[in-house]
Amino acid sequence: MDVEESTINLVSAEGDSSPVPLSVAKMSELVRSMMDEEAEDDDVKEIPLPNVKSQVLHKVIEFCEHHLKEPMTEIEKPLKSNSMSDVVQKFYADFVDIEQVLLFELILAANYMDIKPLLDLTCATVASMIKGKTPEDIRTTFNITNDFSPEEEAQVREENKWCEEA
Amino acid sequence: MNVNMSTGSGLVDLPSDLLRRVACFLDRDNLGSLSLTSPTVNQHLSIGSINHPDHSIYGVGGFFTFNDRFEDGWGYAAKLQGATTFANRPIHSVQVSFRWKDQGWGNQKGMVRVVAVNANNNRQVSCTGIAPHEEAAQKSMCFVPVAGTEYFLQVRVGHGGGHSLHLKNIQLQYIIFDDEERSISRTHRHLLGGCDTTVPFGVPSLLRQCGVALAELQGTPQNNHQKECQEAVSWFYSVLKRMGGKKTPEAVTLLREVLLAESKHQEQLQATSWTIGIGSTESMPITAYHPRGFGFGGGGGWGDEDDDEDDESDDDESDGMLFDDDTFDVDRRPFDCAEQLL
Repeated sequence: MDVEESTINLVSAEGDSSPVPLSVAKMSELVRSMMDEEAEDDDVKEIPLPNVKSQVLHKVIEFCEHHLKEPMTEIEKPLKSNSMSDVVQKFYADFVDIEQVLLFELILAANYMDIKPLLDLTCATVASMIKGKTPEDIRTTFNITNDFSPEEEAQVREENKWCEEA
Repeated sequence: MNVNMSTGSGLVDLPSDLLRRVACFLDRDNLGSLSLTSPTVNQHLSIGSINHPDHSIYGVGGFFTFNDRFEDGWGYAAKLQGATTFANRPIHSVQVSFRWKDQGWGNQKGMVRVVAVNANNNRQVSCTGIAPHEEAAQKSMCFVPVAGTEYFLQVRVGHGGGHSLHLKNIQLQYIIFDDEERSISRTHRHLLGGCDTTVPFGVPSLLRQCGVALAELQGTPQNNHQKECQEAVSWFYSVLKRMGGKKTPEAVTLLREVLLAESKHQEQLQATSWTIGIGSTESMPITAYHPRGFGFGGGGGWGDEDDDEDDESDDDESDGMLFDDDTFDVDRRPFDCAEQLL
C-alpha cells in the first residue's frame, strides 16, 4: 500500500494557502531552510511567502511538480536558439509561453524562493527574447525608453569595442 | 539568498544580479546590444573587458608551428581557462583569437578547437573551420566558462606528411561583470595595456614594486631598497595619473588586486603551455620535432583520398559536440608523441 506523502501549506502574499507535497516544496531552498530552522517544532504546517502572489505561486508549484517527474535539461550558455522549444522539453517551453509581466514575476519569485532550474528557465527565456535583436528592437520588445544622450551612447559604443572584435 | 523582491516587473527593473543572470545566456554580440538599450541596463551590467597581454600565452614573436605528428587526431595544446572569476568579478565569456595559416599548399586539414573537460565528460565547445593556406585575419572562438570545468585549446594539423599549422598573435580576452566604476577592467587596461612596451619587467616584478609602493604610501618604507622604492612609487604614480586616480593606499591596493589576478592567470598558462616542448617557434628548427621529415613521407599534403571530407569553409563551426574520451587526453602532448615515434 502506498504511503501518502505529507504536505505543507505554502501561503501566498494574498494569504491563500496551497497544500504541497514536501518533496515539491523542498525544491525551494528557501522553504527547505525554513523547514530545517523550524525542525524542532515537529509540526511545521505553513510556510508564509509574503513576496509571492497567488497566481505566481501556482505557476511555481506547477513547475516544481513537473520537474520532479521530468527534470528539465540543462540550458546551454550561450543560447543556441531564440526558440525555447529548441532548448528545453515541450512542457517547459510551453510553461514560459506567458505574458511578460508574469515572466518577470516568476524570475523574482524563483530568485526569492531559490529554485535554480526555474530561475535558469525564466532568465533564459528573457535572453531568448533578446537574442538576435538590435538595441532598438530590444527596447520595443521590453518597452524600454531610450534615455541615452548621443554622447553617452557614443561612449558606450566605444567601451563596447570588445563586442565588435568577437 | 536574496530575500528582497523588486517591485518592478520589467527588464530595466530587474536587480543587477538577475539582469546579469539573463545576460549569461547571451553571446557577446547580443550582450553588446543589450547594454546599448538604456543607461540603467548598461550600468547594471557594468561590462568590462580584460585583454591579457599578447605574451601571456606562448611568448611574443612569430608563428608558433605544429607539424603533422598527431596521426590525424587532435593534439593537446594548452589549458586556457579553469576559473569563472577574474579578481573576484564573474567572467561572462572568454575569447581566444589568433592569426593562422597551414603549410600553404596541398590539402587543407588544419583546425583548432576548444574543449571543455570536467568530471563527467569531454565536450567540444567551439571549433574553427579549416585553416587557410594564406595568413588570415584574426580568428576567434568564444566560450562561457562553467564552474568545475577546465578548457583546453587543441590543434589538428592533419596527417599524411607535409602538413603543418601555424598560429601567432594568440590572445585571450575575458568579458567580466565589473563594478559600476569598472575599476578592475579599467585598472587592468591602464596597467597592462600595451604591456610589451611599457612594462618590460613582467607581472611578478610589478607585484614586487606594488608592495614597495604600498609600504611607502602607508608610511612604512623599505629603507634598504630606497632607490627601488622611489622608482616603484614613481611608476605607480604615473599609472594612477593615467587613470585619474589619487595617490592612496586604496588605489595601490586595487592595482595589486589586478596584478595578483593577472599573475594567477599567467601562472596557470605557464604551467601547461606548449613552450615546455609542445610545438616550436618559427626561429627553432621545426624538422627537429618532425618524425617523418618535413615535406617527405606518404601522402603528403597532396591528394589523400579521404581529404575531401575535410574540406570545409573557414567559417564552419560545430560546437557542443560530445566526443569519445579516447580522443582527448590532457597528458597526450605532441612532443611526447614525437618522442615515441622517434
